[in-house]
Amino acid sequence: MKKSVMILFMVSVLVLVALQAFAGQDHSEFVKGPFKSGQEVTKVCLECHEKQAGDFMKTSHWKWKGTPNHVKGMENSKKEFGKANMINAFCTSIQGGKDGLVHEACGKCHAGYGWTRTNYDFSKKENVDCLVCHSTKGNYQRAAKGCVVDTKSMDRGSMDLNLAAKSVGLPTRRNCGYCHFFGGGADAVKHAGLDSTMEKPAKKQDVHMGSTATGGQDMTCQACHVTKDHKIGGASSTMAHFDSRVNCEQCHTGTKAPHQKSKNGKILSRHLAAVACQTCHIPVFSKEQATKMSWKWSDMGKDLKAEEQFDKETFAKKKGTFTWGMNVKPVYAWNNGMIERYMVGDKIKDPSKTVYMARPVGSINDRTAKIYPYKLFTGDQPMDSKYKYLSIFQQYESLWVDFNWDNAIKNGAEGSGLLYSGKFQFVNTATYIAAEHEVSPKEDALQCGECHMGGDRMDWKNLGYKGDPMKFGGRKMAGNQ
Amino acid sequence: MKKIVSIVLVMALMIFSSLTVVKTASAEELKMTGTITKLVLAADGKSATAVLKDSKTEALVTITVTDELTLDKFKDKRIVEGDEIRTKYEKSGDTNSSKMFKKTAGC
Repeated sequence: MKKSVMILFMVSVLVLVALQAFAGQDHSEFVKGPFKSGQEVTKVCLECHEKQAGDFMKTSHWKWKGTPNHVKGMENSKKEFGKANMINAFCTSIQGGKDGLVHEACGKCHAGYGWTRTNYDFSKKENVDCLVCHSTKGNYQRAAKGCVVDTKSMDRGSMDLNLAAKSVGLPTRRNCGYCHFFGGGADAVKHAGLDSTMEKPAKKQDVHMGSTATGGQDMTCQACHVTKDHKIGGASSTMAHFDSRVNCEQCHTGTKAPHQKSKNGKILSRHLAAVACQTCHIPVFSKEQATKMSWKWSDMGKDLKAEEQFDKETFAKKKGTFTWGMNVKPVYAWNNGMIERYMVGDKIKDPSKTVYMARPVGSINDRTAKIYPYKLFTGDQPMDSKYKYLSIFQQYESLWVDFNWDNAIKNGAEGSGLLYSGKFQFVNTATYIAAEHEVSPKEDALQCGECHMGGDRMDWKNLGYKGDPMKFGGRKMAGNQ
Repeated sequence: MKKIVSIVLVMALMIFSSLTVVKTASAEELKMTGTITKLVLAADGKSATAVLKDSKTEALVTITVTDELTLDKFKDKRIVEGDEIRTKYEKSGDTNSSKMFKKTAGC
């Protein structure tokens, strides 16, 4: 008996020690300061964490690129692609401008210091910004321009760099959200259901990250985005590279497998062969704040009257016109885990048709594909009329100064290396952005009638079915197998 | 006749009083963009008052904030005096209660 108690005691101590280590060491004794710059802090971090800095420098958070293992047709490419050299339908590219001028602004979200121009030394460990991901106090801020710590915030007393350095620990939702809530240039612009309201959501908004006070699990980002050697799990539906994927099955398997207690458990589980978990469990996205649903760059520079939609402006002279959506019903598409992606310089065969910047790969005939929910983001952007590729333009030092597209594309070409013929036109673009966050509590999940028996949520014919599979049969019966 | 007049009077009185009640109970929802000129956090940390200078009219408007997310931003100085704010608030009597309180910043 005594032996058992002793073993139990030892195990408890070990668990407690392990938990303590996991929760993060108090660094306030090691990190003294005072500090005036981010690099000064990093140098102190490196005294113990040189390996971690080295690991981090291999990741896409540092390089902003990686091998395009997510893109159909490019799986074996050794060339690396990412935010550093891709184009999207929001602020489009970081390459626009002589010597990559735009880096100095977009680099606010690079987890490093000093990447203000194309020619950047990625080998300097002291340029890693540890604090943007690890500081938990002190209101750490990066400057809007210049890829440095925001000294203005320090001067006016709203940021305490010393406290930020002493408070390092495991990332919180706020750390990740510092950039990811603001994808597309501002709060709630790009992602479906990933905005600043997710810093402290209620369970109703997100069952995983919802606060415990509201019955949620208060999970951190990395609880799902499992991280190894600073490589953070997750495959963005618009990016070329991923290190590892995030799946619901990481947790919801075995004894925690879904639908076990449901009275329709067997029927629901049969859906899993063709329907992703997210499809039923994310019935709407952007529950607490509207997200941008479209962006017409062609209206940039016009003198239009800005209206309001869900408390957000529908026009900005610098950017063009927008539409916004709140509690948005997703669109649905098959996906087998890969994407098709428009890459810089790709020729546009028919400019009268929509150019898909990113869209999921898969079909009803693809046994590995399932139906997933998406935010379908639409808009337009300039294309070189002669060379037939999307133009990369310089925004904030050119377009936003004189509202002149011709100048902006000419200046943009200097950074991107894409030749500009002197003539441009606008083409419509569309981007499928996966709805992966704001998972609803089970009582708010889709009910049968939303999709079946007259429910119109799914466009069955567009998905390849003859009609509602409850009436016409599932994939096997769809006549395509 | 007397009965009809009485009924009409009673109905008129009811409609008038219900409208009065609605007017009293309902609060006006307003929006503005302005710069914070003064920010005071309550001692218990459960509310704050922000004085905003309306960018269009330059009028000073005092807004009470009680939502936890925004209060957190005040506490750790993510929102400070001098910041430009887009806000939606409910005006009820002399009190303006914030329904949305966000910095306008964005690229």
